[in-house]
Amino acid sequence: MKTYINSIFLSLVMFLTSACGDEFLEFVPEDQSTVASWYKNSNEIRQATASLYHDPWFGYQDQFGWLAGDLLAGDMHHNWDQEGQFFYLSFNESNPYIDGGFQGLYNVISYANLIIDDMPTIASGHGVDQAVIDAALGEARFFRGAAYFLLVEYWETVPIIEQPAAKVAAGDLFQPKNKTEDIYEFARRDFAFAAENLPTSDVAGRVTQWSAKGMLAKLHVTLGQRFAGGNPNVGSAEDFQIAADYAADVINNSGLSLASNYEDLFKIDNEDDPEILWGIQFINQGYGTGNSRQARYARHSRITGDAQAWGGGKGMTVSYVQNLINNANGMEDERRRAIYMQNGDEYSYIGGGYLYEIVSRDEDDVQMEGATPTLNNLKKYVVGGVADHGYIISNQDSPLDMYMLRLADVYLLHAEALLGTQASLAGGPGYNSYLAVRDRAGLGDPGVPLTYERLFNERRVEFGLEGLAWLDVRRRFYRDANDALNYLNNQGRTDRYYRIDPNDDLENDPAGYELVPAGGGVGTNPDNVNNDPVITFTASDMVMPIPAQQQTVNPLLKPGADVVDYFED
Amino acid sequence: MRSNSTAEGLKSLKRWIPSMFTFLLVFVVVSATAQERTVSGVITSGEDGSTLPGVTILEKGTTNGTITDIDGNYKISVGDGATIVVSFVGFKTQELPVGNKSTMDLVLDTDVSALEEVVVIGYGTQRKSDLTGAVASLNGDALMQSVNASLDQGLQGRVAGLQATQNSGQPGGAVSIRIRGTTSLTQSSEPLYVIDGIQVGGQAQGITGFDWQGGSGGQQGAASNPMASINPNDIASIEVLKDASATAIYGSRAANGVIIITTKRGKKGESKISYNGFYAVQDVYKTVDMMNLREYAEYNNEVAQEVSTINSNDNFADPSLLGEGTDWQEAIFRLAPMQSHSMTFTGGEEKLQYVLSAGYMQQDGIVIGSDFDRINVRLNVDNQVRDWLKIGTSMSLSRKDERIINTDGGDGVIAQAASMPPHIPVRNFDGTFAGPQQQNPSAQVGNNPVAMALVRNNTNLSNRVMNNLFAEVGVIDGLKVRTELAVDYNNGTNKSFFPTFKWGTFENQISQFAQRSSESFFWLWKTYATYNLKLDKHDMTVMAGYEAQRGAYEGFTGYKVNLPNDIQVMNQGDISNIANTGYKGWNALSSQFARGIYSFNDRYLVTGTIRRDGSSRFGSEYAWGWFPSASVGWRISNEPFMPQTSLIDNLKLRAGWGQVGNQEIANYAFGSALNALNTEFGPAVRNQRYSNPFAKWEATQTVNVGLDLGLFDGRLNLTFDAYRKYTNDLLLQQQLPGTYGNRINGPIANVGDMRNEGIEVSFNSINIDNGFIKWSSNANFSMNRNKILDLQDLEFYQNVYWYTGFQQATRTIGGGYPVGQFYGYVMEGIFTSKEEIENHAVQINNGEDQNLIDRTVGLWLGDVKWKDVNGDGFITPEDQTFIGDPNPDFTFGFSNSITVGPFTLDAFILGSIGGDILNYTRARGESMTGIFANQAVAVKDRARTRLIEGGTDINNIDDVELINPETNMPRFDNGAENQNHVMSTRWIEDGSYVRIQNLKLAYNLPQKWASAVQLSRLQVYANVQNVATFTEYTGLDPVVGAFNQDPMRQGWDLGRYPSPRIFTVGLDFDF
Repeated sequence: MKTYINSIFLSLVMFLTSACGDEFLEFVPEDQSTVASWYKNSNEIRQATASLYHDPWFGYQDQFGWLAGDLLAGDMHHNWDQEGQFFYLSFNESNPYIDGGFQGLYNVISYANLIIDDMPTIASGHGVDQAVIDAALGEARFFRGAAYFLLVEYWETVPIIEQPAAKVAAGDLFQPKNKTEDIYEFARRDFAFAAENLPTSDVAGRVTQWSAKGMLAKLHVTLGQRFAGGNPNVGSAEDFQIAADYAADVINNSGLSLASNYEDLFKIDNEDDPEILWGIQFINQGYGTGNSRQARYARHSRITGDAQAWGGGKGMTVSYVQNLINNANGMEDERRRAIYMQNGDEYSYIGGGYLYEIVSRDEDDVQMEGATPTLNNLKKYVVGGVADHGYIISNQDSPLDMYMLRLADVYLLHAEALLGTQASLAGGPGYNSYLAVRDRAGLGDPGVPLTYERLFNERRVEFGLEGLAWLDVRRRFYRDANDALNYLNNQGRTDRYYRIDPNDDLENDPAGYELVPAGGGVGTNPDNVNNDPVITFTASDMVMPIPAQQQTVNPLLKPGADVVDYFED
Repeated sequence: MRSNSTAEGLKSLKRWIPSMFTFLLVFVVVSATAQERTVSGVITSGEDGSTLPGVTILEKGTTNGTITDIDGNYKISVGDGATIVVSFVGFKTQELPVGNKSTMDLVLDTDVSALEEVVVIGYGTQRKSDLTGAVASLNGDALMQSVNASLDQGLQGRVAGLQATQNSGQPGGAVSIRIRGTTSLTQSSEPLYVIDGIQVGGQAQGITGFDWQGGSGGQQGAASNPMASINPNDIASIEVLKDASATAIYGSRAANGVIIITTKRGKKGESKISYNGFYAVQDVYKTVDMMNLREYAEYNNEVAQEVSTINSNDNFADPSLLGEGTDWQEAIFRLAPMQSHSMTFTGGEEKLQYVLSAGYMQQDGIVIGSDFDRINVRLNVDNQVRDWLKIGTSMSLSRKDERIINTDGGDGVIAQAASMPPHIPVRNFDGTFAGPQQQNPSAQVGNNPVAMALVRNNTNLSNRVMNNLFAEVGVIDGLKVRTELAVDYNNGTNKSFFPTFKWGTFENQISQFAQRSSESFFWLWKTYATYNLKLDKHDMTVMAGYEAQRGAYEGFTGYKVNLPNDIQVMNQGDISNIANTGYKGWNALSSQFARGIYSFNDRYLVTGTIRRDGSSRFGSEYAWGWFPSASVGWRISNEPFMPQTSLIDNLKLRAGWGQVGNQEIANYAFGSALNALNTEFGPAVRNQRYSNPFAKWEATQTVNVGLDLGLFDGRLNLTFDAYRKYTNDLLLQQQLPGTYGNRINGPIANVGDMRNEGIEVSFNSINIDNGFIKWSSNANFSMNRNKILDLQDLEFYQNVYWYTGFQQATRTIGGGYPVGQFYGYVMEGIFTSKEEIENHAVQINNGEDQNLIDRTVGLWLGDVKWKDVNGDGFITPEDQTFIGDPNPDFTFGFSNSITVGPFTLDAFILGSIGGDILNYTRARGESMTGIFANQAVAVKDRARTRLIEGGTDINNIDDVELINPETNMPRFDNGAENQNHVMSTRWIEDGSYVRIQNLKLAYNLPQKWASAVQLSRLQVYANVQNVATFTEYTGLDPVVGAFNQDPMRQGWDLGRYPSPRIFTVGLDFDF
């Protein structure tokens, strides 16, 4: 018995000295890498920056991107619930989608910041070449700059966050709003660093120095318009010229070219087309990884093959359609069917072949699809379902990349920069850039000098449903506030169509409908009363409120809180 | 484990006739005058009527004695006028004059004073009378009083200081248990379970839910419950260790309290076979009042008139021609059967005892498509190998299989059944599921809930083996060394299938399938020595030991699509676009511990414990922590100055202090790991969280004072405890301002202090016990106040799904506020006139700091009037405030057991007073932002306008008036500019309730008749559970729990699966 007890105690002692030692407790993740052991070579560094291309942008793009980008600008007609508040300009700071956009952009910033802060020291500790480090820094700073550029365009004053980990560790959590001009400057420095350090070419989809230069062109045009509108603090007289130089550099030296067919730009197969400068590189791997526009926009399950088709009531406004027609100058704009669908349109590549009818009925004459208020439905980013592609996109995850900057944008920015503060442009490189975009749309030279308004109208068509419309309205507002407000207040976004006689057989003929203006307008059929309000913007409506929940957490973001300098002058 | 149970024998066929005979003679007075007489009889237990072998029968004042045989018979010769003394461990000793009787049968009552009761305290046992900490003990029988699929449900209302709320009525759904309040903010507040020495955390395991399909999924409310794998029938006792002086021996895992579960063990005596079984039907007892088709059609027509952009539905032109339409709630609820059968074999010789049990339990959920079944097998063996060596094992094997429907969440079957419009039938004429004809603007409307429940298939199958081997060596007298090796092995398969379907215009052309397989292996090895020394009036027990434990886990999830014939196996179908994923990890704890218990003269008691834990969850510099405790007790009733009467037979004062910890953070949460993700460019990584290498133990200190009082010969026992728990350096995951990103996790940090304080009272009494009628009562009362003293300016908010607009439904801050308070606007009523709108604080600004009056985009008659809390004249986010507290003021349980002859009636009432509930289901049912979803009947009384006399324009405020100005229901507003349905007092309800939890009537067949059918015991019973609930809460069930077991999401009713009413008949017998 004694030996037995001895062996128990012996095992006890052995156990205490071996298994219970510190290595028993020392934890290193088995299913994850750690930051400290990462960034050993170019491949690992590029794996970190690759994460910035799609997923972090989902929060911004899923809802806010189109609600603020297109619906608020008066291009889209959609009035449902809290989404419809963008249509009616009736949102306040509590609207959840405003927070979705704000938060989404800061998600991009937080991820970019951590790479910017962690990577250089760890990588150089591993002996990685400085050029590799700088190129990756350029990539991360490109995205951070882009996020700040969008933040300043929508919200004017927001906090600039750098080195978040150090601030969190120090408990220095609440950062104040920074001045508009400082945010522009911050974004400009990021883009400029990216333009210097990114390669001239990379694998398809990765940003290059041309992407950065394109964004610099946009940023400087924006500053130029701010200056043109008489803002003493933001922008300067040189900005238009700087923008023009950047744009020209991209147009002449990037090796990119406008895709020959506009509609093809929005097909999955062509997403790495020669026009792309920066796109959100969505993938088809489940909710949150892909492009959710199809679910938001598609008119019916007939197109998507799944239940996620919530676009039955969404169409382009009468104003948008009218502008497209006017802009075409009597010609057929080839872009139109890629942006929205109207009666008689046929699409061979979605829904196994889809014919658009104002009202569609099944074989039993039961109505499947009904008339939208503007007699059209959305098309752009609607790509079809499994029947068309052989794979499913039922999880709001179309792989179609979302354009954030494409060459046509730089062309038109080039024109805008060279137009500068002048009233019009009658010819020259800027005018030619404008013509190049029109050419591709199958439209000719209108033969009249290019005014700012004509350029704006061209952009409105070219980038319809790409989430850029509000940014363009903003630039117009910088340039001439009253002009922009007049534009918004007179566009009649709430005008809509009514069926004249529900009992005639014209349900699939536009002639069976009548346009009734909002604000109590009455049609020829006295039942057709459009009580929707006429929407009126004032200057204070041009800036997004900081989301309520961000204000409650951080009191420095409240409306009256101080806006402070970021850069010491 | 209680030591007062008895050995029970199987009555043999030969013996039953004579004992039957003698039994009958009890009522016969036999006179005799012999000098020397022989008395014989049978001794039975007053507890369950079984015969008692081994009972000592002594002639008083002599050494003449005998013991009962295996069937409880005795025979003794005594002198004339003798008195016999009958005694047995665990029972009251009785003295009886023999007189001239020759047969004396006797029923021995259990010793209700229970002072000798032994309780399990972790790494040992202790006499209950010697306890100095706050420990509540519950025997298995109490649990069996109610019908429970899982034992933690049975704890509800039974123990003072323990709050058990079922997060979901789904079969197998998880239960939230709080012992003395919430102790953690972002980490688990669930207690540690110790099952036959095996430590198991109380957190529910998340399942592969519906989120990958675009639903709200993986909600842990519906997740499988770790306790659901234990058969309640196997349980001998449950000890709840509440204060730190009791729990400190479990150190780093004890901050939330410890629940020790001990299963039944074999006893000496003849083998016994027991059967316990019941059959039950369950039913939902309440549904929400939603509109029927006529009402819905009328609602649609009225709205179409009011709002020009909403078209009227031609089919609704004349509502009076319509029927009731589909009652979707009726369609998803059903009468559901439930059954359970357990067989237990116990027995043993002098040196070898065993329990072998097998159980089967099956429960269909009251919502179609949900069910649960479980098979358990257990073998417990104890063997005295040598005088000095005892070995044994507890082995259990369980397998549970569940089908889980998407419930409890905002897009779950129950919420959907409430909002599905009544004009859509459940099925088409051809039997296929129906759906909406027109396209809807969102995913939230139009999903056929019956189809969702039946066709979307989500199953969870898990197998668990728990085994504890022990060897105990008696080294010298008083010194025992015990070593235990425990393993806990789990594997699980969780499948989720999304089929092809066409429900009206809702169509899915391709099926999807996900399967998660997981496996975990946990081992624990502990060795400890216990030395007991009794010297004169000194009684000392010292225990010291060490323990190492390690759990490793691994799993993966695979996806497939396009599965032919809906065959749900991974070999079928096409490769999915969703990438397969997996996980792997481990964690370990290494510990040393010691305890000393000293008592002097049964009056002065001192206990001290200390534990040192090292955890793999912290960085090496912070891995180790110390957890000491000390407590004292004074048994005043044993003092000489106390009068030795039966009035006070126990009076004990207790006081204790201790420090325990919390280590439940994720692996490597102190560091920064990289999450993998896929991109267009191949694999990629990104930071998982902001790191904090300084994260360390959270320390909770408890002070507890208690009083135990036994009155009237132990017939009334009262326990009173008061406590204060301070948690310092709260271990939590920081919620950072949004500008730091919200996809990346905040750091794990030690921030802030929290305090829980409260009182607990429990009493049990035997009100009547006259042999024929016995009435006993049990009551407990708990009151806890939770306060977060400091959070260093951090604030925590929780949202109800991102798309709901309830973004900050609760707010948790420092400064003395309780955790998880509801946060929102205060509703002051609705606007009934233009003047009211004009004179009220600005809710929608017209640009000139006045209210915008406009039917579509501004304020209108019938909009909610919000309270200007800060008085600045504008309604802004600043006007949100605390609008409710989900923490109850107090909770109680009250049970009564009345036995009259063979009948026993148990009645159990429990209640919770003062906790508020966020009724989000009602928020959906009364949101009035669209016509696609059905609305509550209450919406019929919404504010509506009509033209005043002479008015012409319904859009001119001067031309209209409210039809029903006295209503409190706001107007329909599809633009929702005033956000009438935003998080506000409108949705906060008082969740106080008193519930008759069960009524049980049992009939115990008298011993003689039982014996006639060769049974030693037979009981039949009928039970009604969830009999009646008294509450003002308008939702389905006021017992809501914590959504996802999150302390900051307590009292959220998002369409919770209601607890059923259960009607049971059951049968128990032993032979």
